[in-house]
Amino acid sequence: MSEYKKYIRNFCIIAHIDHGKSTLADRLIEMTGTVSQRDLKEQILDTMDLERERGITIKSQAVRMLYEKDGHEYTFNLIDTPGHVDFTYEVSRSLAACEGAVLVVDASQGIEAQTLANVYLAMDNDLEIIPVINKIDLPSARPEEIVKEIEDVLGLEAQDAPRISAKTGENVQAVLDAIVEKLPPPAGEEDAPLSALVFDSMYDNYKGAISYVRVMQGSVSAGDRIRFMATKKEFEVTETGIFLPQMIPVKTLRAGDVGYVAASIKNVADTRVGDTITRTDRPISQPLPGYKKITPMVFCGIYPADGAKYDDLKDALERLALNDASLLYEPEVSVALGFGFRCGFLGLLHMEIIQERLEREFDLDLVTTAPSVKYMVKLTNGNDIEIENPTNLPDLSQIDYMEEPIANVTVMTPDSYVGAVMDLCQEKRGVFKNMEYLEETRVVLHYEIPLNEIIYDFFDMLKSRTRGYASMDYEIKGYQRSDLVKLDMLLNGEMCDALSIIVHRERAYSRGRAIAEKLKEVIPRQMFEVPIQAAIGGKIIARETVKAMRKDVLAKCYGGDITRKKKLLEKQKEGKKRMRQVGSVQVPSEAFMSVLKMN
Amino acid sequence: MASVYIHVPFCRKKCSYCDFVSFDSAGSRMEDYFLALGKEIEIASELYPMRGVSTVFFGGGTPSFVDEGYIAGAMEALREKLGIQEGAEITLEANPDSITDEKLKAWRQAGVNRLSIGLQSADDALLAISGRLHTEEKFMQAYKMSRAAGFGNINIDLIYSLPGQTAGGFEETLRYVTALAPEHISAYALTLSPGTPLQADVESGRLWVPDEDADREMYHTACALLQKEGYTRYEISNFAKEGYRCAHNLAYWLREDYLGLGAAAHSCVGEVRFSNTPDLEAYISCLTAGKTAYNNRESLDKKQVETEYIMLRLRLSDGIELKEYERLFGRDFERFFSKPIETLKKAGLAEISGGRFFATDRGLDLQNSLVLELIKIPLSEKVNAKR
Repeated sequence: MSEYKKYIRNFCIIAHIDHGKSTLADRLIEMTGTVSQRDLKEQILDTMDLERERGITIKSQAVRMLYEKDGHEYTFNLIDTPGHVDFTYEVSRSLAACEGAVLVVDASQGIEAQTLANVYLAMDNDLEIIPVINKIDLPSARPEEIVKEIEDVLGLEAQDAPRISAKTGENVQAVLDAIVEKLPPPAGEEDAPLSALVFDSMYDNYKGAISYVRVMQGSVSAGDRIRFMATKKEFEVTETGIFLPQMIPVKTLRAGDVGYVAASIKNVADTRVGDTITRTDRPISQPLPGYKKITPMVFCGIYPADGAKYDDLKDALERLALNDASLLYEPEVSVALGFGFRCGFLGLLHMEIIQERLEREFDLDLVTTAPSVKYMVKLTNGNDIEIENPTNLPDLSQIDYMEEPIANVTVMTPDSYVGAVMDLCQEKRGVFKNMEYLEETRVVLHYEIPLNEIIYDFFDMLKSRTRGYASMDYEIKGYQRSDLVKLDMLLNGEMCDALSIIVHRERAYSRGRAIAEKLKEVIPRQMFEVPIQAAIGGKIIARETVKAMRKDVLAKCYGGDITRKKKLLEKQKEGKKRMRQVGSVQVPSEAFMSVLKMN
Repeated sequence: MASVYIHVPFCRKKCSYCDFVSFDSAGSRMEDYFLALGKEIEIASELYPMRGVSTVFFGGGTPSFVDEGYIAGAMEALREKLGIQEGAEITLEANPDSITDEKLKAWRQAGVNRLSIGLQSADDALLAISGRLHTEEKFMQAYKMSRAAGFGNINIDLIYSLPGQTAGGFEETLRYVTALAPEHISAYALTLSPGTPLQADVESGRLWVPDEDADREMYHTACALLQKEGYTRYEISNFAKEGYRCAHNLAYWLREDYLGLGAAAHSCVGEVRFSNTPDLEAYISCLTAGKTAYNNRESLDKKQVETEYIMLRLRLSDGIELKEYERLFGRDFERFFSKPIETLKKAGLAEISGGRFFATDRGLDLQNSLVLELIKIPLSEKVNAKR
């Protein structure tokens, strides 16, 4: 092995949310002197405001650190990964770029659903795992029990796991030493043909789409002609470099290195996560394993609250998609909402993040429709179609049957909440698979649940029914035939396309009634009585009524001062702008979102 | 035709629901205020020369509270600088607790020929809650004194939807008032304005006000009862016997020119609306220095004039005269608003007959919605036009 690679350590930190992943990363960066004291701030690798505020990592980041031990200088490449289930694929690619993982477990909370999911991902990628018990400074810390839990549940040797406090810095040195001692240096030969794994990308206004890579074999330098093996696109490398964590150009990236490649790539979609880069002059024949073209799982309509802002929304989506190849969007028209976009997301968090970024970074007021999954519809004429927008579902007479995506769901919970969790899964059409005891009082439950039940309020309900103690994770298992119907909402006798949803027949009645009740709350009184009806096909299954308005008048224009009346009218007129006209009924923007979350 | 409004921003005590510009502890400023007002009349006569005003309205505050000499002085100045037409309607707002024989005599002498007396309610308990200083008995005395002093045109102001008021209770007040047979009755729904003691009491739950249904019951009771007693509802809150509609208030609704003089007073001359500062000291110092005290000035474009026209006309039972609309705005009302008219007719808010477009009873209950229907530009059309 070359001297160069012997001193490289590539690793990720994996953890359940709030177990201290970003804090440990901050400490490592600080203790290796990578970032000057002056530039240190919390969550240094989370560059988006949203990431800092919500304490989550959305985008992968990498940083190179130098650490001296026993007279040798080691190069550490830390790849910071998102922790949420929505980004499981991205995480798996980041893990594949590493030889090892630091597993952070909270000394009081112990193993949670995402700990488990991430450890399994790491094991799948044959990573060496260093367990670390964090937050030992907390009075509720029980490190010895957690060590036992890690050994029993995960089967990892944990007796000498560093017990640390990333917050105070206590014993973090032991983590640095463990990285040197326990993690293997990268394999791979510099002289071999190039294979580099893309684990993320970002868009730079000057350099174009930039690929974050781990070079597995060979080397790459500016001037090389490269090919992305999945997309088959070819480019000439304009720059290679490393992360400190800001991008610093270097002449060559060699086997074992983590860094970036810029090649005047116009579109991030051309540099997909999981793709393999090779050189055209000396290509490899087989790409690295594990590449998947990721497909969005959750869809919703996004419309500007003010119809005149359609072009602004379009520009904003274009900008976000530059940096996010998993965000899909295409124009659609709704009778109720006008011009907008049908957008596809990896999951609910991804959807929330995109919505929030559109509103905050682009100052847009949005109307979003209830999220939907992608249904497979078998038509009587033998054709198959995919439905992402319930409105587009063909007439029942043309449908043979429908299939919906099913998820394998893992819930971890204290055993006292097992009943509550099982009830919830049952209500969500879940099929019980099995149950295991992790330790005396902690249980892991496995269920198969239709994805369309999960995307509404499953997570919120789980949290509220277990007082926040349960954690969950899911992955898509596949499609399954199901008795689904389209539920329509009628306002004053007219169907509102943006409120249609696809539900299981057995749930249609209760959902219809709940939505009608909710709409009654949010639709203001109008000049006339407004009946709200829920219908399947032509059949009305629920009805509510918004009573007609009784009074809407100013008593007086005193002393010729009509400004107050004008102001009131102006305000009402503004208010109406935020309303959508469905037939003769004014519907506030919130109404379309209120069907998202039902209690 | 031009009208003048004179604001008298002084009260013995502010009512608990009042958010008008008035001061109950500024008695010492009266002298300076009326000197400033005199100055403003002088300036106004140069800026807006007119051949006599057709209505004058002393509002407040409490015009009856200040020394009658100030009223006489203002009238003198108006007569001298702006001129007052023969047969002009000169109204003064009066509170029962400050009406005296001497004042009544002085007002008559100064030319005041119409009194607007604030009874608000004939229920002493409600009067107390509202922070009014009079009782029903005091009002009765004041009313009789006013008649005896020769006032043949009297308006009685009422407020309904007061805290704890019921439709039955309001009906008693209405019967009490109609028994006196005033020429004019105004009945306003209580408006809870932010920052008033009454609003705070309601917000904190110490008092409750009737809900929308009870409010409408009171209003509809008033409309029916007053009509039976020979009063025509010619505007949402105003009822008059034949020949006694308030010419001054009509000037506002018909968008005729009017000058507002005094602190916080609003004016409308042609296409321009402007108003004086509500700050009493600023008003006094500006005018004392011979400068105007306008704090707001808005030149209306044609669209805004039309919006105002629609909004104000539809407060009147006469509504919009279609011929007049076409003359003023150069297009056929029925054709231009065909879609909203259809919607409004269907919803039972408005009708067209006898060459007029006017609000129905229900349309008057929902006057804002009615107007909005006419003045809004539907969003969807805008988007469609763009694409």
